[in-house]
Amino acid sequence: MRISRRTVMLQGAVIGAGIISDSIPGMKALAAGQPPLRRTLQGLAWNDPIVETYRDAVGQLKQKAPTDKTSWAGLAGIHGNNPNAYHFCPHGNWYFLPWHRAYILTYERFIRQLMKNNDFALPFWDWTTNPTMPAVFTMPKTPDGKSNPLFVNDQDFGQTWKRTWPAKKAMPANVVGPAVLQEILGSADYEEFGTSRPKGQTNLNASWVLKRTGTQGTLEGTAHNLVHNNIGGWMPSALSPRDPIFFMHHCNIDRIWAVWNSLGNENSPESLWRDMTFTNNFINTDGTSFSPKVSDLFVPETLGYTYGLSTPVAAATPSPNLTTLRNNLAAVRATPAADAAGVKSFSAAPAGPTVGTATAPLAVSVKVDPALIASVLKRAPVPSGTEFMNFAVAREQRATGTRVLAFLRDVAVTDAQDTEYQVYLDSPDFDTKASPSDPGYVGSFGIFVHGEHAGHDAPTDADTSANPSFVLDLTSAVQRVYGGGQTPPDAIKLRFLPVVSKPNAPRAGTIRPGQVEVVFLNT
Amino acid sequence: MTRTGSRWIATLAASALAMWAMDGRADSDALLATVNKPATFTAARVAEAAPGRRARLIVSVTNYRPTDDCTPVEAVVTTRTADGKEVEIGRFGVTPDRAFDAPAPSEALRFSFLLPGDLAANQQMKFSVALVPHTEVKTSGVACNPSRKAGEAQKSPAPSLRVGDVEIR
Repeated sequence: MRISRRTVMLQGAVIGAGIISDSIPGMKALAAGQPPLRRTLQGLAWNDPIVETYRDAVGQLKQKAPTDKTSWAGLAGIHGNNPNAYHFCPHGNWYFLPWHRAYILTYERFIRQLMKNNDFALPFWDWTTNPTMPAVFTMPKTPDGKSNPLFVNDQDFGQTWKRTWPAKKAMPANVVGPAVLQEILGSADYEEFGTSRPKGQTNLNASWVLKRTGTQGTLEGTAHNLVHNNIGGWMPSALSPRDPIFFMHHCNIDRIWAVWNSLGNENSPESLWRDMTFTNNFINTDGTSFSPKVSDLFVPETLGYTYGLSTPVAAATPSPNLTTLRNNLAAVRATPAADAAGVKSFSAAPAGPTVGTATAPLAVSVKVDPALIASVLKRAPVPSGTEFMNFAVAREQRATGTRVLAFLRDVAVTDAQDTEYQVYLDSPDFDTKASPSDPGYVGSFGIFVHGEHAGHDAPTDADTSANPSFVLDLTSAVQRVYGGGQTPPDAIKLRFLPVVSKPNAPRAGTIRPGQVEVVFLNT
Repeated sequence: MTRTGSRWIATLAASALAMWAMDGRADSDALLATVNKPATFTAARVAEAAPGRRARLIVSVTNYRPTDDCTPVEAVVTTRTADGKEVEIGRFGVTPDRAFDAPAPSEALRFSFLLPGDLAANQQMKFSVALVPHTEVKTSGVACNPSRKAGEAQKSPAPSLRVGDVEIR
């Protein structure tokens, strides 16, 4: 079989994440003078100051007597009286988001005071981008041999509390994946986005806060509830804040609210919502009551933290970062595998005639400079949801820092009409059951075939073209797989896994790139 | 009317009553989802979606039982397209993952799901809610049922979920 320009037109249809396009998301780094940035946990090592501060604070709060209302158990008591009954916290109504914003803020303030660190801000678990639980929460001991307060193994209420969700199992894509997030952020009004008012509410009596009779949309009913329930241990209970991962989960929920607002969506104008006061629900660090009104809680920056979403970026003039990136990309495309200022490339070809199949994925290892991987790891990760934001903001983030791309040249395939070709960054856990929710997933492509043949045979006449080529962005996958403080490797190994693309397809085809180039930009 | 005739009528009435009761139970059971059987129901449009907005299915839940051994479970809502293909329109969970009984229909939990664009104009549609446990998750088996002690056998065929009012708007 062969690929002929006359009879076959191949069109790469890139459908995965991490693909080079002009819509790759991002956000501008914070300008000086803004409050502490709540950032993603992605890439934070176990001994990163943010993780270390949170872990030490949790450890100290757990040391306090449970009867102390500022202890770990005492603060959790704001949320639930016992595992089976809520205390103050609203679920299933439109106070869900503002109440939890105030609740996690309470912890953030206590941690700042306890650790004497006013620069601290809670990190968030961006489960759309990183659907496995962050490793810093799943290690019983830290690498220096100390017990890890972020790990859960508690005795209370006459039983043992442990998370049951496997540490390396991804949350399902139909619970937290990009399509779910897109539906959440597409909500047309606040009550669709953040759960509707409790049925029949007529006044501002505090009892309405605890009614669970609003209609839960995808944010609360799907992503929020199922992440809680799936994790197991404390998390499915009313005492879920006893699990330290609660705050990273809710910080992400809170961030998604901020992203939704930043897209131009307005909060409910209803006074039944805005004017509700959570009287004596929370406590300040001095022990006094913290009783915010819903309308006090709209703007993160006024509360002492930011997600960095509101920084205006001029759209008219390309920034120097963007100009540099564009020049680098142009150089790479014009002169493959050639180094230029700010560009370093490395390449390798598959050994022998081997092709990748559904049961035996093809692996290609490309030797690289570990220092360049370290540079990619230093780059600020791009959180999910920002792809829906202002393009000028997004492209500025995209243009900043070292990126790493893979150029797949001369890609020969079979059964293209029935096959999706998935690409993974190698990791110790990789197997043929890998899915796009795995940390090493880079992206997928399909090949649109006009004509009867596509395959591995070499072209035989002058009118036949080379096989198609593709470019994938490895940056986010490199950060997920090699982040977390480990030593950067000296090679990037890519796995090529063909999978059937239709329910009734007889089999997946095969794949074999002629050459793989790994290119670092903005080095 | 003879005694025999009265007996005949009484028998007929009893049979009719029994059939009605069975029908009623069948309808009621159709709204009960377990791991072996999804709840099935037809939802009708009660209001047109606002301009520029797609219709949503709203499902209320009047009763819920978690798995007895704490295995996480997801409620998966599906429907069928005109050509018979089953499509998932969303999934949800009940949090906290504890037994829930609405004291009245108005106190039910409510969840909403965006209908796919090609189905959003339908006036009424059939749906299913299936309970799908994560059986691959190894649980400690005591945390979801406060009365159960470690090592005790499972007491009930949980989980289950009963659907209450449903509507499209």
